[in-house]
Amino acid sequence: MEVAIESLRVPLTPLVRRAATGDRDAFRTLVEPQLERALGAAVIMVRSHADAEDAVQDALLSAWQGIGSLRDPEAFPAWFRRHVVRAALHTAERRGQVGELDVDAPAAAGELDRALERRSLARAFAALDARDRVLLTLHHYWELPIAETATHLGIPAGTVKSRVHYAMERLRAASDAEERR
Amino acid sequence: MTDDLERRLRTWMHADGDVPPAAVSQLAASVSALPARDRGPSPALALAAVLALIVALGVVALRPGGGLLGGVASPDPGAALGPQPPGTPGSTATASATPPPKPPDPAAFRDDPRLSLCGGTMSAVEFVFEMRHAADYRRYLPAMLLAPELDVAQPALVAVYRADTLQPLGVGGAAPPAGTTWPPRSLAPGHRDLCVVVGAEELNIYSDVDITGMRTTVPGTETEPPAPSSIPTPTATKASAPIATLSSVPAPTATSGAADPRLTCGGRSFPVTALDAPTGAEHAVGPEYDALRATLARDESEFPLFSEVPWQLASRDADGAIFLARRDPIGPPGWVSVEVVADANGWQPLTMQECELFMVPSAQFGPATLVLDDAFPAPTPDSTELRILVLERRCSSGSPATGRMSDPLIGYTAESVTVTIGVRPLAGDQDCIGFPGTPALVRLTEPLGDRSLLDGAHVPPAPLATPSPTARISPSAPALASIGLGHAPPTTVQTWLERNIRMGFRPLSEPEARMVRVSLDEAKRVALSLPPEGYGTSGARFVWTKVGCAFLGYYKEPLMPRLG
Repeated sequence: MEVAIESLRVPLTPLVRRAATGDRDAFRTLVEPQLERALGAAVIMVRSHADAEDAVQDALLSAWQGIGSLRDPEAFPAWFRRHVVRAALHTAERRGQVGELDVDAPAAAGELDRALERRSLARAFAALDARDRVLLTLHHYWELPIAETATHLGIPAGTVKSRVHYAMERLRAASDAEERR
Repeated sequence: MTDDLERRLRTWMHADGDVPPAAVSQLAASVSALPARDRGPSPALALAAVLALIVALGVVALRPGGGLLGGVASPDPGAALGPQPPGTPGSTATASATPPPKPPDPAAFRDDPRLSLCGGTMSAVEFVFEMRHAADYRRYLPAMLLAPELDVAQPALVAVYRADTLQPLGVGGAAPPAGTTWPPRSLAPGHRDLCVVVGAEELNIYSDVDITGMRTTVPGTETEPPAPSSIPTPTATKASAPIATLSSVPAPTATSGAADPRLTCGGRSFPVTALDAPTGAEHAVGPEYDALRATLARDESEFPLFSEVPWQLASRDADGAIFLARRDPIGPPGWVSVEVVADANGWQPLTMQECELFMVPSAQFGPATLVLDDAFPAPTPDSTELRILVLERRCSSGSPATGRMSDPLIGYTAESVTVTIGVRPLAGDQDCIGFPGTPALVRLTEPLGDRSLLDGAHVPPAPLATPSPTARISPSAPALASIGLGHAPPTTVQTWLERNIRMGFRPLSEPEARMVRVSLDEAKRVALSLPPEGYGTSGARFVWTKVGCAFLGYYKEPLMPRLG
């Protein structure tokens, strides 16, 4: 499920160079395969579709403005993800903890329990602080390598697993609290 | 091992992150609406601009409402930024053969009640646009100072008054002292007055806002494609003139000679040529470069993406080093600096900060800005003497700069006279208490004529500010300090208040001070409990001080004061 442009091994260097000269088509070709996962991750992290779209827009803008400074064009996907993570983190931290989420669509018969469980988990996840949400999203949704997760969050690679562990413990506590409501 | 919670989390995440294809397509399509890449001025141009200052070749179109602002009004002649003929607001909206006006054409908002809240007529307003979220104001106005009252999700309407039309609601503040009048108010180059209506009716007026880099649309936040409306940053142009010479008669308080103009971000200074130093410091080998990388990692949350931009070594000696990076790749034009120090434990991070460049006469002096001393008549074309106040930019615990000022560095051109003075910093830790300015006399070698008088501390040089006729607070008055009063806000805050809302300062007499019944803590507690909520929740970022009989709170970061 990793971005198609990587699996197809399309050479990125020419596209990055064209984008760096102001070629929007080249830039779009670079980012388009990334956007679905980027937006999905942003939605999870910031807990708002509108804010997630804004965050990805911010990432697009900053990546577009900064692409001339990208030193390794073949690293564009990870570099762009970094813009997304930072924009989402900024948005998530600005929003703080989110108390209420969009109400799920009415569940069909038999789906009620699962809908309630999802909603309970969503509430627990929203109760985490922004950095925990981002960390768990990178690890469990985007499934990034440990080293890249460490880079995005500015933490030592050796601490990623322990931080994920503690974030999961906090999620577990929040989830238990939700279930007691 | 995957436990049940982890499994449930993954399942929920993939369901929650399953975004509609239309949203993805919309994002992809928005790439075509991204603004032109802002590469900023080349290092060579920046160097040239600064060198132009040093050799007194710099001339900037600085007349309010003149060249600079005239040039920014319509960066895209085809866009809806053209001026409306006075008295015929919205004329284009009535022509059936022409398309309806679009933002930022004020005519597009002619019937919008929010615009009428801003006062004035359509002809007083040059641009009007909407922000989907008021909190995005710095995406639209990247050079605007902090305005925490705008940090809300509600939509907002922004009206930018014309350069020659100061915001029409008037300004508050005290009446001028008996027998005097307030000096005419004017805008700095590239600055305008703004009206921002949050929601339906929450009115905010901002005076003297730096609109450099203004965008009237931001990709992804509007339904209309963005109009390219970037406002160029003021730049220096060359003129023919001799190399700058020092005043043949130094100021009476001068303490040092040899001129070797350098730049500073407020701390360590560096040569002018450092702006053009090779980049790549972020990859270089050495303990000072390790300290740079450690600083970038430490301050990553405050300065995101700056580990991705090229860094250059501006200055290094046995005690420390300073690195610079252009902000342009990821933000508005400007510089960010990192200072590292070498001590017994090796090279260590010290500071990372936005760098406002100042010129200093030589390495041993810190920056100082200048204002005309209103205790004396304003200079005339025949003047060969300038009575000024020197405002030290570094903290000095309220001490005057007497005995610590440099010789003035004076550059003459056909259009301007540029004066640069530095102040030798005090040793040791100093409190950041404002000081009203140290009087100094600068003698020119030729009459001022009709030339502009510029403060060379600014890059590029800026006109010498004219202070209001009010007295200034004297924070070092012993009688006040003894009872815990007398702390003045920073000079920048005082200057803004004086210039824009005519609030002057004077020290309380001791009897007056003893009449104060409200404690600072009590005032802070009450103030922080007042709306808007942002002030309360951001209390940790506030500094509170007593100013005369009022209490003034101001952000530690540059804050955009407002009326309304």
